[in-house]
Amino acid sequence: MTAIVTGARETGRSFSDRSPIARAYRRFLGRSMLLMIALIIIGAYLLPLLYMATTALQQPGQSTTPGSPVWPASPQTATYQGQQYPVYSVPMPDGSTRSLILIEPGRESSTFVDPSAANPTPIEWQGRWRTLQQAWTFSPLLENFTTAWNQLNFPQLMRNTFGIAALSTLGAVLSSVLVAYGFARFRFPGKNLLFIILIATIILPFQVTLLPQYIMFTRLGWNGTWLPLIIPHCFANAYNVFLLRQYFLTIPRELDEAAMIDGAGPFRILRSVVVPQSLAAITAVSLFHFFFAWNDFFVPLLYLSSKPDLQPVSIAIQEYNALYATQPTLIQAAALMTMVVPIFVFLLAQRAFMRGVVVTGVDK
Amino acid sequence: MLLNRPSLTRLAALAASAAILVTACGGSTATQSPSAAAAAAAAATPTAAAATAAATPSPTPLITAAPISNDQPGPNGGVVVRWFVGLGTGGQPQQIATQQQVVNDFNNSQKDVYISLEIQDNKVAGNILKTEIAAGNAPDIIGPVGVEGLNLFIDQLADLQPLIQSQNFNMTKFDPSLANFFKMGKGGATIGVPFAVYPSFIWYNKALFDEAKLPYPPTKVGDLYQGKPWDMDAVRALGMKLTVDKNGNDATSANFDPNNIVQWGFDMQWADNSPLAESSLFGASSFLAPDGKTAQVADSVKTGETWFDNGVWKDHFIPNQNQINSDLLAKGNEFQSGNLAMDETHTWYACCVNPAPPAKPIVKSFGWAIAPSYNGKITAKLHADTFAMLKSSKHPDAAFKALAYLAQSGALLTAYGAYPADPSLVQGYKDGVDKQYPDSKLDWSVPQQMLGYVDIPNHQSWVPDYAKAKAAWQAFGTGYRTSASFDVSAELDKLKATLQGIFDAAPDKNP
Amino acid sequence: MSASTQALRHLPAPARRSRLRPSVREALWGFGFVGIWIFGLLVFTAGPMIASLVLSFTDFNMVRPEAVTFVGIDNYVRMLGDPSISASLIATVKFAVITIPVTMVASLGFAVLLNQPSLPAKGPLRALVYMPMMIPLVASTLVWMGFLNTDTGWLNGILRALGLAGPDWINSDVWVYPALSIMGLWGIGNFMLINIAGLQSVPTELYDAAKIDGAGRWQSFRRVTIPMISPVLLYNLVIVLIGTFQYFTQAYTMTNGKGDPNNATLFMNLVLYREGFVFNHMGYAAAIAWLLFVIVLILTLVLFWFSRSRVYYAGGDR
Repeated sequence: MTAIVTGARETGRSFSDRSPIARAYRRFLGRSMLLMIALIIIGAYLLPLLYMATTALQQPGQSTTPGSPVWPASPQTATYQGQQYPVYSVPMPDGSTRSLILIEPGRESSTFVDPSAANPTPIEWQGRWRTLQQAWTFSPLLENFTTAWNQLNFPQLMRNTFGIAALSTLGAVLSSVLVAYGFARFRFPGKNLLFIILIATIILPFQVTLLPQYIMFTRLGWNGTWLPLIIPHCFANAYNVFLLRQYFLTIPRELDEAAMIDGAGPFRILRSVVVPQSLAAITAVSLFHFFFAWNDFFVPLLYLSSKPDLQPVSIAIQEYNALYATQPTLIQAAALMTMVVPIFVFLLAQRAFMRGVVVTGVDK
Repeated sequence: MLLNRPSLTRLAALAASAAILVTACGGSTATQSPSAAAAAAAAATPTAAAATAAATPSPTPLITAAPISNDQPGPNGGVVVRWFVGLGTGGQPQQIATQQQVVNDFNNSQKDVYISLEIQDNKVAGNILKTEIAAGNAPDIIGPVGVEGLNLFIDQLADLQPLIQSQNFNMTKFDPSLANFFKMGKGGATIGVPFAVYPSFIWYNKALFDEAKLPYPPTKVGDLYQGKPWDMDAVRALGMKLTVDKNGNDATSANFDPNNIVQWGFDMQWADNSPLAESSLFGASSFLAPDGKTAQVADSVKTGETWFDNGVWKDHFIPNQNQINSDLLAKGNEFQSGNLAMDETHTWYACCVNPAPPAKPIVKSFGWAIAPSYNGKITAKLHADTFAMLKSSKHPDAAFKALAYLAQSGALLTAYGAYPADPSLVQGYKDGVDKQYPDSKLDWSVPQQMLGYVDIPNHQSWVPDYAKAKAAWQAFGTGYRTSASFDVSAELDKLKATLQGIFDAAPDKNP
Repeated sequence: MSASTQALRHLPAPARRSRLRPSVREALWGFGFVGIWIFGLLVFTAGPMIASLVLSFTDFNMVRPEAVTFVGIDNYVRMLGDPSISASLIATVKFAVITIPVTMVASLGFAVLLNQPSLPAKGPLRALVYMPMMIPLVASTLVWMGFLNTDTGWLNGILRALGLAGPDWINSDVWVYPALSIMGLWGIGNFMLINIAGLQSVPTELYDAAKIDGAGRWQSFRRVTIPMISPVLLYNLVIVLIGTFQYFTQAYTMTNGKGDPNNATLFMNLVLYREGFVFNHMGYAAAIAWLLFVIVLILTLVLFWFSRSRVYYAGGDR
């Protein structure tokens, strides 16, 4: 922001500058350099994602062929006597290289056929076929996506996942803001102890409380509904409260006091001072909870195992993963598709992030 | 104990639900949340069900009809019996549809019993079942389940003997040894009825033998291979010839490059890193001595695991852990990848030689050969599947009716690739598998012969604290496949001591 | 806090009508807000927590729930002699030593980079860095397993192209920790966002002032940025610490919960999970959970105590 502010001032002056074009060029150069650096770092960081995308576009079985390229490809083939055979570049004894199809592989000599010949006859070739270059053609298989889409019933999964994630995010964020405000701005007996207990609830591994909770929710008749995935989150969650409290504590108290002098009560201070000052943090918390709920796996599995109609996408992906363990192409295509909605949500939330910046900048 | 006091929990629950109604979600600003949630949850069922019907043209739907409460009669008016699938086979896409069809046929054919199907992925099925049992929310029937799965839940399984008698279930059609096979419960209780057997033998990829111009391995007990006995030495020699690096050198060549292998000679796929399974080729044994409390490691285990260890690191014809998980061996489904020449496995593998559609088969044609001998003796380990009933079932009569129906379903046997225990169903099963692999022209005399050489004691037979003991021997099994410097004999001594510790601390010493 | 009480005393008419003393009124407001959480705690967490504490004094077995007996402190005594507990403690500490600094530095580095005022397209770039968070963990772990495979993985392929022999990332009990830390980088999205939000809350005047004082970029980063976002950094550190001690899903997916290679990935939470859900010894697992709980609680409290003089809160006391 420093640079934005100073930059703006400088631009204002730059009309009288002697070489505005040179300055603009230098600034453009700086920005491009920065963008380049960022892109290189992020590119390295996301390299496995490229691997994922490549896998999702590959022909099934491509990766099990020794010497297959990394890009999505299918072996070039040609037909001989009604059967398909792979094409190889074969160096011939006369020094030339021919594109031949391998019809009968052997360790030290193999039988090839020239598919382009008018009257193909088998050619006995001395040498090891494994050392030959196989011909591949670039052929991304978009069908992986449609197959996964059809097998997984995506529209229903998306509706379920979005429903669970949105409802529990709403409950979690609203309650967490209120509780964090309580911890950050009010003095009451036992506050420190309560705060330690709050942190402690993060620390307890979920596996231990799983069984007692399962018994409780089953007795409540919540098994097989979304309630165990939503209601417990509506009473603030330690991660969110802790994070929001840390932010609220960075907001100078003078702002509260000014509002108080104007006659504002705690709710109005929360609404008009604390929340606007920490929109970025609240957005962050909302995103975290949304993505947590989006990917939450074991708890939905436990409570929705008997209700496939209500299951979110994380369970479906896990099952899909088990069913098609030997077909990474389909698994990765499915996983990539699950990312579409979250990315959209993230980009929307980005705007709130930017607004958070503006508010902070103007108010001070 | 807190958990066993329903009144207390119910009180808390009552308080909780009342409070939720009153306070609503997190204060006045968020009143919408819980009601919206409840409404959404309630509304989701019919709409989602409609959507399923509309939006699933897929031939292999991954989901099944929602099970219904056990306390009310099912849609056909019958007693609801919950059938839990996932402890063994039954989770493959092709199998799910068949299972649902078998259940629908049963539910439509009579009005006394309604089977509600629950299919879990094999990786999480055990956990889900345990949680359901611990919470008093267990299903009635589990299966298909093998010996290992039965071991893990042995305390919960009902004795079927009284029901077999009262409902006149015909046990005489089975081979007597098979009829008694599942008398393995507490105090000799019968915890399953014979359903399927899975003998094991060698599966070989014909194209890889053709390429090396080698004859196929023998299909009759006693036949020689290239003039020599078909034994473990022969498998080693043949395996090395069928192991090839990217330059086309085989493992017997001086130029062989072990860092760039593209085709392997032999493995025992999906053996769960169990030393007992692997070494069963050298003779059957148990880690538990006949006295029921002493840990032991038989000589056959030492010999067998040393053979495997050398096969991986010295002779290179058996893949190591990293190679098994690589793309070249289809991340674990080694034989399916087309890069493994010989695979010792069970008839259930008929499920998975070809990848699930739409992917095309890689192995064009494969054959079956008998298991090799060691010191003149053949041991072909056996798997057997059954359906079991939980003690906690509230409707044992209805549950057994459903169980008996499932255990005699030819359609299920075909879907599971299961060799029927009932001789009258065998032909239908063979036809089903032959139809699946028309180019392979399978020799059915091989599984038939191998049923005469099963491992006794079974490689999955009970030991105290089975789950923990299994983790210990799996650590050994993974260890030698991961590290070249692994000392098999010293580690086996360590394993024996570890197992003794586990057996001594086991809460429950007698089966 | 004194400032706010003072302010409360100056409250105009509507507030003065209440007969309660200001400090009592403040406490009531505080309890009112925090009460939402206390209610949820009592209903959804405290019961299960107490139940798990009770469980830790029993031999509760998942598949024999009816045969439960009290065993006193047996489970806690047993932990002392259990080699898998000590092995898991060592594994967890080894992993923590590598992964905590890596996560902290990488997330702050990305935040600073993607908060540069002159960087174009910040939104999409942030989305790119955050993207891996949206991949289901099971799928992303599979991706990494393929990416890191010794023979067919891309990373070793790149290293080979550079003339280096890549290590056996997944199957070596030394290299598995760096491998998991690299995989963990895909989970820094949250921490990066928290840091960005923190960077944005630093008042611009402070940078201007620092500039006037002649501070360079690094100087103003060290003397202004770091202290101003220290509450946020503390939060990240606490969460990363807790997350490391609860590390589970990736290790579980990678080795199917077996802790390979050579028990190197048998982290504490995995031991707990295995005892409870694989070996069915839920009573013992509950005791391990409480051991883990106490260890992490102590570490967290030490962290808070240590941070007291190092974290700056513009909004007053803690």
